[in-house]
Amino acid sequence: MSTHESTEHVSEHDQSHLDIHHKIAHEKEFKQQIVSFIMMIFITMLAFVAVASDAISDSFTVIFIMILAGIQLVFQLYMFMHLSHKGHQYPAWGIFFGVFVAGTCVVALMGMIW
Amino acid sequence: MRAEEMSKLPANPERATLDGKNKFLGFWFFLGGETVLFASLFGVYLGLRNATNGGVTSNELFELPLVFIATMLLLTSSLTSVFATMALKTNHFKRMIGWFVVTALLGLAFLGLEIYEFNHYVHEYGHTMQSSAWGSAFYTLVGTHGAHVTAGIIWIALLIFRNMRRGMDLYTAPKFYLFALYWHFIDVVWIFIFTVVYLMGKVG
Amino acid sequence: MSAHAYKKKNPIWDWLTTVDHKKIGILYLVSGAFFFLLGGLEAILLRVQLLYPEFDFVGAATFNQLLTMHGTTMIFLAAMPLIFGFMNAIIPLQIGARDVAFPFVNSLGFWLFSAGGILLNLGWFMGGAPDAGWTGYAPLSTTSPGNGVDFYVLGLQISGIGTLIGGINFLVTIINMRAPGMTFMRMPLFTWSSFITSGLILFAFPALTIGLALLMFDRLFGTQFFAAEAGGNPIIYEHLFWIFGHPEVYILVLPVFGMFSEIIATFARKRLFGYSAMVFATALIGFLGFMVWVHHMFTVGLGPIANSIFAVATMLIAVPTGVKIFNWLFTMWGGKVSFPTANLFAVGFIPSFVLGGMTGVMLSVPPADYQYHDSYFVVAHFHYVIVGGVVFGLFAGFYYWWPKIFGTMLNEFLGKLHFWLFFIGFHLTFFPMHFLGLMGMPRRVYTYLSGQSLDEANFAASIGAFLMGIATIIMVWNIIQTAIKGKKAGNDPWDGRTLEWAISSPAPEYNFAQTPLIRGLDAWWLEKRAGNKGMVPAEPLDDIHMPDASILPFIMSLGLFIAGLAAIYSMWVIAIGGLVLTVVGMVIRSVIDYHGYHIHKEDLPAEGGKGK
Ligand code: HEM
Ligand SMILES: [Cu+2]
Repeated sequence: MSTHESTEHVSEHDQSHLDIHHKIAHEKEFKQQIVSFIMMIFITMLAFVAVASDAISDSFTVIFIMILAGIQLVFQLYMFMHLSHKGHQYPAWGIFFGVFVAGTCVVALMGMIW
Repeated sequence: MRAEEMSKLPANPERATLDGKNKFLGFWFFLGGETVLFASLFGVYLGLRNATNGGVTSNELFELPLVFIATMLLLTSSLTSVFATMALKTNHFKRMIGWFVVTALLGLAFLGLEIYEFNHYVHEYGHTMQSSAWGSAFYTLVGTHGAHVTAGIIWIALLIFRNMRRGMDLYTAPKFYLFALYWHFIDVVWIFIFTVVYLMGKVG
Repeated sequence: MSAHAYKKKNPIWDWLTTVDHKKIGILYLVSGAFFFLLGGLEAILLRVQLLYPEFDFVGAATFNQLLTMHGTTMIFLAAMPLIFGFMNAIIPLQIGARDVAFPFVNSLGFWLFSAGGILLNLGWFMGGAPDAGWTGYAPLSTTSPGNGVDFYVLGLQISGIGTLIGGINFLVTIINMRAPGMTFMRMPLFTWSSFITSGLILFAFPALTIGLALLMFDRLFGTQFFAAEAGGNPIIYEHLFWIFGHPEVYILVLPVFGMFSEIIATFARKRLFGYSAMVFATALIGFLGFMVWVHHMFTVGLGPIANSIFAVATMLIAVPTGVKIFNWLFTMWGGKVSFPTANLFAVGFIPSFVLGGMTGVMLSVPPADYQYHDSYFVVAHFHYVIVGGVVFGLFAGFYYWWPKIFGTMLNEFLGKLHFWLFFIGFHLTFFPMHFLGLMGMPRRVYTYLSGQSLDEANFAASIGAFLMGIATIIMVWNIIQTAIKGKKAGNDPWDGRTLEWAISSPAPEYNFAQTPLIRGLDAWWLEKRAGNKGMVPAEPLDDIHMPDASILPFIMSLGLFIAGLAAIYSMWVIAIGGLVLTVVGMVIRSVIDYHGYHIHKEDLPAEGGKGK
């Protein structure tokens, strides 16, 4: 993969300003992201398996896969989108109020119709 | 001015200038609005998912392996765009571009699958936007997501093409960062699509 | 690059390309005023038709179009842009900013709004205006023959996008662009309430976007969303519309609550009573506003549980609203109250709005609402809150901020005449409607029979409407007179409290030569009490960075206008061409760097005084 090459070819000049703390933090984040990704793949598989197999009852399956989706949402927001980082309080407000309104929308359109 | 910025970027180059801060915050708010937009479509879908009008049902229609592959493609593209943002924050321009290229390619593969899928449904099963209320809701929800993927691919292609030569600075960093946010958001939406539309469609 | 700042500009080109929030504010105000007059004319025609029982003035079909266009125009094309006009003209000045966060987006928002507004009204000339009511309920709207409803759907869609991006712009502006010392709890209430309103716009408009999109699909592409015979469900449209629609009424009324708070405090010469309670009440109303929409659907048959929950939530909203009313009263209490026109409207608002709130609480009781629903009682309710609240507020703000925006003083005598005629006309029109409703007159009917005790009240209502028409003409006359020979306004004609009164009228292009330091609530009032002639600067005098003007917002909006119009007639090639034009505009914007230009400090007038 071409991207791998570019990883190795980063010039010293580019690296020079990264002090050692920066670097450690960066490596830590890299590991965390990989772990989150593996978790997400695992969760996804779990959801597919839950549906594909007949081992669990339908109504439980629905609840189960919805919970899994919720966990993935948290992973995406907090790990991939860095919502936990400093300076994200307003974004968090924006997203969570959006999620709140979204929830009312879904409940209404799903449950309050005839 | 730009030359100085090049040599040393601050820790969060995407929000180092007022312009960057504004874009960053504005885009997050936009995503908050998009959340409601998609939620409305999800609600409509859930309200109409059994309205098959006597035609094919979701259980007969969906094939999980296809959806699984599409999901893996998109999830992986989310990871590659995280790698790109990490490169952005540490000022590795080429590495960032590389990861974004991979992201876009994965996105393209996803789109290809989706087009194949829609085509299959229409021609093999006669499942169209007009055939039932469920069909209308299905194509509108999944299609809106697909349109977002398409827009994202065009966006990143344009960004890469335009900024290939000039490298990273405080003017370009926010642009790339916003794209990465957008791409993750699309992935979040897909998580709920595969869960609510496809998996729940198989459960009954 | 700076040279071009001083090039003499062609005025038309200048207005088409401006990204200056003050000019965009004026554009919004002018187009809002135009649509207000248009919507008013439609209302007068409606009232002529209802003047006498079985009167034959416009007939049923035209009545339905007038009715639909009156409601749609007043809400989306008059009230919304007028509010955006004031937000643009005033908020950056109130928070000590040189500009909004996204000047380009701001201009795009305006042009999208106007493209949508024009498209919506084209129906009149192209085979019939929309006629399914401002709510556009399916299946009435999906089955309405002709193209009328398509104009509604696409016009509102386009102008809605403009509103949405405008809302995001103001959220970010208020969070990121405040001057040093301007903490959240020092912000003037107009800014605060506009902030909450912008949030409501962000989260409410997407539901409308989807509702309209699905309507469009049903009408143009043969989908089955709302077609019950194919398993579709029209209730879904009602939900989507009101999930947007109820927040929308607060989107309209909260900013004017903010205006009243400032106007009443200024003319009572006292600081606002209960500032933090006001802020909290505003936020609470905004939040609750998302949880009450089903009160518009009590009679749909969603069941007693749903109805009860939403009834309680609706009644709850009256609490923070009541807090506000009391705070205004206590602000006036013991103050040295004077009554220029702005304050007349503000004080006249209080009893009028309280009546609307009381009928609101009556309507929130589901069993009672089964009686009131779709009767003239509801018409009375929402006009009491929208005219008695929103329109009075817009008038008050208009008389209050006119000097700051245009640099001249309106005629106070004509202003007071305007107020009294309008106030009397308003109550004469809408008060009798309560009784019409209670006696069983349904809303949205083009005529009624005589001998059912409906004649007198209808006649009175029509006379009241004519009075409001005359009052509005007087206001227009006042504007014309002032434009021709208005007396020049000073910086601070009302002895104001907030920051906008510290700079010249109208404000210079860059607003503040030096960003001011804010030292408390009512920042300008504090400095005046401390004997200062101006605000204390927070930065040394320096070159001022200004954003580049651009024609792209206009072109992008034109693209969507073309696309919308062509889609109505299913001319897909042209429609795609229009979309391409819009996308090309976006691409150009993204690919070309806009760095803005600088006004050099040597070119600034001394002492932060007169701009050009
Ligand atoms: C104390 C606060 C309020 C309460 C309890 C309240 C309650 C209600 C209820 C229950 C209805 C439905 C009546 C029906 O259709 O049967 C209604 C309609 C309406 N309200 Fe309010 N309301 C309040 C304040 C407001 C405000 C502040 C506004 C606007 C600024 C407003 C605008 C409207 C409009 C436009 C309608 C009619 C919509 C239509 O059917 O066309 N209301 N209100
Ligand atoms: Cu309501």
